[in-house]
Amino acid sequence: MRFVTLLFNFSLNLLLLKLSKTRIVILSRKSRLSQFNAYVKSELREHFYNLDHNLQRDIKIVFINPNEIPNQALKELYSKHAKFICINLHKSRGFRKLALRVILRILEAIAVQGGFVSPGSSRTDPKNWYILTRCRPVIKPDEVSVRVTSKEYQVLSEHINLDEKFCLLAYRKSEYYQQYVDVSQNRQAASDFSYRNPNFAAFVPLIE
Amino acid sequence: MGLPSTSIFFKREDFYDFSGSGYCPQLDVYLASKCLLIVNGACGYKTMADIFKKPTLMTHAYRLRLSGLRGLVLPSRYRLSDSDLVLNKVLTLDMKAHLQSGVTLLHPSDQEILDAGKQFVKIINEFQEDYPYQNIFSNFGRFAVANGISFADSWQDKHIRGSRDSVVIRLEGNEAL
Repeated sequence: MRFVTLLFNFSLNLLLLKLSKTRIVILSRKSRLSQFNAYVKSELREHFYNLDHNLQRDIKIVFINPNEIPNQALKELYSKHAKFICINLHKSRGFRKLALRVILRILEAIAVQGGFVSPGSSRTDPKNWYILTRCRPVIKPDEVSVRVTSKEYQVLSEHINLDEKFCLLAYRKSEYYQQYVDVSQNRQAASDFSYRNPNFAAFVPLIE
Repeated sequence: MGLPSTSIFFKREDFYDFSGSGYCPQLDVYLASKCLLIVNGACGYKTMADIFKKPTLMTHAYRLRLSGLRGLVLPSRYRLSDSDLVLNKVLTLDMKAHLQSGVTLLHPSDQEILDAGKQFVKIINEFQEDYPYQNIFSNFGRFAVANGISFADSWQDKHIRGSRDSVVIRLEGNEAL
C-alpha cells in the first residue's frame, strides 16, 4: 500500500511538473544563511546546468521560505532567476498561522526530489558534486552592488581600499546566533553548541 | 557582520575588524563578491564564498558534509575516551545527540591554522587568477574522502593514517573505533 501511495505521489508530482512547468521548492524553517544559501544555490545551479546541457526544458522555480529570510540582499539577487514566496510563519498569529502550518505540512509530505513540489536540499550526495562545483555561478560578482551612501560602507571604505585585493576572515560567534537566529527553530544556534566556536586568538599567527 | 559589543581587540594596519558593525546584508554579499579569498572558521558564511566560487580555507570544520563546497579543510577533531573518532564515524555523527555521548571537540592549534594557511596561499598563487578555484582543490591533498574534501597537508601528516583508496580511514590513535 505504501509503495502504491509513493508511486502515485511520484507520478502526480511529475505530471504536475510537466503541466505547470513549475517547481515549488520548500526551504528550511531554520532561517539560517548557510541553509538558505545551500538550498537555493544548489537548486538553481542544477537547474542551469541541466538547461545548459539540454537535459531539461525550462521551468519556473518557486521557493517557499517558511520563516525569516536570512539575507534580503541575497534574496533580491536570486529573485532575478526564481520567485520567492515568503509565508512568514514567525510573524503569523491565530488561524492564519494554523492554516499556513497545515498547508506547509501537506506540501512537505508530498514533496519529491525533482518533482512539482520538491524538498529543499543542499545536495550532499557526492553524485551531485560534479554539477555543483563545475557549473557556472548563478550570481556573478559584477551583479552585486552596494549602497555607497550607507553608513557601514562609508566606515569600511575609510579603513580598507575595496578596489584592492583583500581577504575575509569569518568565524562562528555565539552573540550572532543569539541576536539574529530563532533558536526555537534551530537548536544548533543555541549556546549548547558554542563549543564549536573558534577563538579569535587562534587566527592571529595566520593574520600576522 | 556582528554586534557592536563584541569587537575584537587586535590591531594591525592592514587588518580591519568589521565584526562590530551590526547586521549589513548588502555589505556581507558585496564583500564576498569582491574578496580574493575567505578563511572561514566554522560559520555559515562559507556558503557565501561558494556563491561566487571564492577559494576558501575552512578551519574548525565540525561537519564534513560540505554540500559541494570545495576548499582546503582543517577540521576540528572529535574525541571519545582520549582517542579520536574515525572519520567515517565523524561523517555520520548525530550532532544533536553527541553532547550526551561524551564526545568532545578538539580545535586545531594556532600552528596547524598557520600551516594550513601557508599551503592555501601557495595553492592559490600557483594558479592563474581566472582559474575556477574550487575545482583545483579536488586535486589537492594526497587524500580525500568520498565527498571530495581536501585536508590541509600538515594536518593529514599528523592525524590521518590511510590512503585515498582506503575504505576505512582511521585517525591517529584510534584502534577501538
